[in-house]
Amino acid sequence: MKAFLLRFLGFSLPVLLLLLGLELLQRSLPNHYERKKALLEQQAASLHTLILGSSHTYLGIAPDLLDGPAYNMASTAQTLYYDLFLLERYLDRMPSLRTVMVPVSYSSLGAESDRNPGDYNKSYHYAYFFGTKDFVKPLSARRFSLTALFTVKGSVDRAWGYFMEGDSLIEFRPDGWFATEEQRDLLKNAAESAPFHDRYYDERLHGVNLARLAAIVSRCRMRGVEPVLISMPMHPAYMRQVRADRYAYMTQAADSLSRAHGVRYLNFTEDPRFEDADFFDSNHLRRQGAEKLTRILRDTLARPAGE
Amino acid sequence: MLYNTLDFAVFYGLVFGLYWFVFRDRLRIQNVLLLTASYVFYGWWDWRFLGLIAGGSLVDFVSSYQMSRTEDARRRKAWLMLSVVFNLGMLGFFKYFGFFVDSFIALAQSFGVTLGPRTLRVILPVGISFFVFQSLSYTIDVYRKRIKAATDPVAFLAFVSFFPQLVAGPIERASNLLPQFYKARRFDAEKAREGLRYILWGLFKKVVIADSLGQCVDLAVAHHEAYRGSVLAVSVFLFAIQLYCDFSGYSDMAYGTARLLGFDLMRNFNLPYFARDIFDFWRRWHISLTTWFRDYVFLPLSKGKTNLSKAMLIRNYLITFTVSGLWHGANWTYVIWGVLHGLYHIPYILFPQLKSTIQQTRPPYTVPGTVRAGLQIGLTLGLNLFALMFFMSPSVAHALSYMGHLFTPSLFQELNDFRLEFAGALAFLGLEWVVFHYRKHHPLEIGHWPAVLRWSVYYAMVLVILYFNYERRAFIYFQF
Repeated sequence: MKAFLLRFLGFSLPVLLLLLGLELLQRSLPNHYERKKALLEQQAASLHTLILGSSHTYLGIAPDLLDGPAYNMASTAQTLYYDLFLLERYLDRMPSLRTVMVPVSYSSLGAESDRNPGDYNKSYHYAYFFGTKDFVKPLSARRFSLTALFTVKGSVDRAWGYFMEGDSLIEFRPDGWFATEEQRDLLKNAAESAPFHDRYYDERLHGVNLARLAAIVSRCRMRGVEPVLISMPMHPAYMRQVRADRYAYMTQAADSLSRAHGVRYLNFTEDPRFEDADFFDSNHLRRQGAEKLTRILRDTLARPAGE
Repeated sequence: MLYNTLDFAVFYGLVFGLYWFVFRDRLRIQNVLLLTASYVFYGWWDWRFLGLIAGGSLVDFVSSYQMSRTEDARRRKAWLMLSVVFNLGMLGFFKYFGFFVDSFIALAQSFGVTLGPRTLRVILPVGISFFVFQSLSYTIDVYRKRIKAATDPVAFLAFVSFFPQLVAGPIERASNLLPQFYKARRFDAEKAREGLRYILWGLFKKVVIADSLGQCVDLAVAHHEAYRGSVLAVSVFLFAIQLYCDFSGYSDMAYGTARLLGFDLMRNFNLPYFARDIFDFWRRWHISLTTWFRDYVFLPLSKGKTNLSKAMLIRNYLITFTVSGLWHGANWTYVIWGVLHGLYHIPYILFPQLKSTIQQTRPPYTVPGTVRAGLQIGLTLGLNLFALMFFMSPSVAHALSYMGHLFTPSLFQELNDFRLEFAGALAFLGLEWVVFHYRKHHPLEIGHWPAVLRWSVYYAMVLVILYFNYERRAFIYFQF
């Protein structure tokens, strides 16, 4: 048995060394969450506005057009669970904070952090970079190793992109905003995106997500910060695909929350001021759309509530 | 805990170390370790279902033990019934409750009676069909006096929950596996090397082939309206290869991990896509389930008679394959898949000369033999692919829609998607043909090659597996 084990270990050693090398390489490469976190912590003390949410706000709100220092802390597939978690973690480190923008989207009220498939399941990313403990197994390698988190293929592809193709691996600007000029086929994307969002929508999560939204609002209120609920602009092709009952629930829930807590709810979902050229795809804005929306937001927020 | 995860590698390393180094030559403690490890392995998915497996095992242990203590036929039958009702009740509730209630509601609606929607949602415990069938076969065999009742509860519980084959088989017979828990196990380096080769080949099939093809198949099934008929036809073939690599990959890994612990499991697959008729196919595909249905459904239906009329044979095949379809899943798609396989047997029953003989099914063939074999293999594969369209679809309506888009003039158009995957699947089948031709079990039977060449192959496979292991898909048969 000794001889067998020695041969097995001898065979495994080069593979283990290779994986160790890949892990060290990953740790030396820039990555989304580490940079987002570092930039937030760097700017926290001076921030006036914090933007939370998923890819809709990540692409759709330009912090540099708002009044005062602002940071876009949104990320792809960041659910309300993580919005609340991040707010609770960083609120006390932001003494100048005046406004928190919280998106309420068609999909967010029926979403949970561990339900998304593949790349959109970010549970272990938040566990690794922010230390969240829900939705992940305590002993999973993905909590401790970047190679396990990104997978070997992902790690090799990242390293190849960084060293061979000059990819910076960071798509957002120092203020956290992902400004893209790209535009996809809006109709085709609408046909894919709405069913995708519907597939992972669970109505049983309404209660828990509303409670999270209410908790975000309460935390802000306790600190004298104004929470603003925002529904982002969607392309008409996307809206034709969404389920009317779920959309109605979203607007009713946000309206009720707004009335109950006296907070502003700005619904741009079907705002006619946004045209085809403003959209990156059927449910995300590109640079010009984001700038348009941010200017509208700035002007609206400058006026007293109710005007 | 999936085989292709680091979690399993660490778990298995720990079990292996304790098993061979700490508890070596201490059979009873080794069995306790295997039982504990198996329950940890199963509880990793959902610890709440550990009660099911433990409860089912204890009921079967007690009922079989009681059967062995009496010659009173009625009492023996009563104990058997307790086991059968408990096991099938458990399976029926967890696997089929929703299916039957929903089907009843739909049936009532077709008669104009509107019933409220089902409110109770039952979670399906992973692998329930496998361990229930394994345990059930034991009590039936004890009742039939084919085997003796177990007297060691630890060995029996370890037999039912043995983690290498717990969640997707092979469905072992007590006559093969249970005695292995009673005998002292010695480490055999050659067996261990063979086990490692099986694990490597199984991982390759699952991670590199099945999971890669699965991405194409998912797209084709979900968006079949957007693809040409030719692409949809190829996608069914890709699904056939995916299903085979996924399931036989699991079986190979189960065989390998068990072998490293000194156990011999039965082989579950024998190059099924080279079957020359439908009987031959079922001798090669999911062998442990086929033999289970033969022994506990088909033969009891035949009441021990060997000279059944053709009508009775057809009836028995149809019943057996319909039940087999239902075993696969609580969905009409699986029932239709099973019925189709039952129907495929009818021409061979009516015209026995169509059946290929055992001798004919073995290569190497002569040239005319190859042509004949090729046609027979093609026909059998074609029949399989047709039935698989139901197997791969989420509903019957979906399957019919898929067929509606497949059987159009675009079936004869150039393949404009999944070309690389199609070529890969064909290459895999070519490799299997070589294995088939030389009567091996898998392509890694290369122990006689020079060490440098052999290790190069192993390293290449390990690196490819590591690279492709990003999908982390559950095994298809886990849902059954």
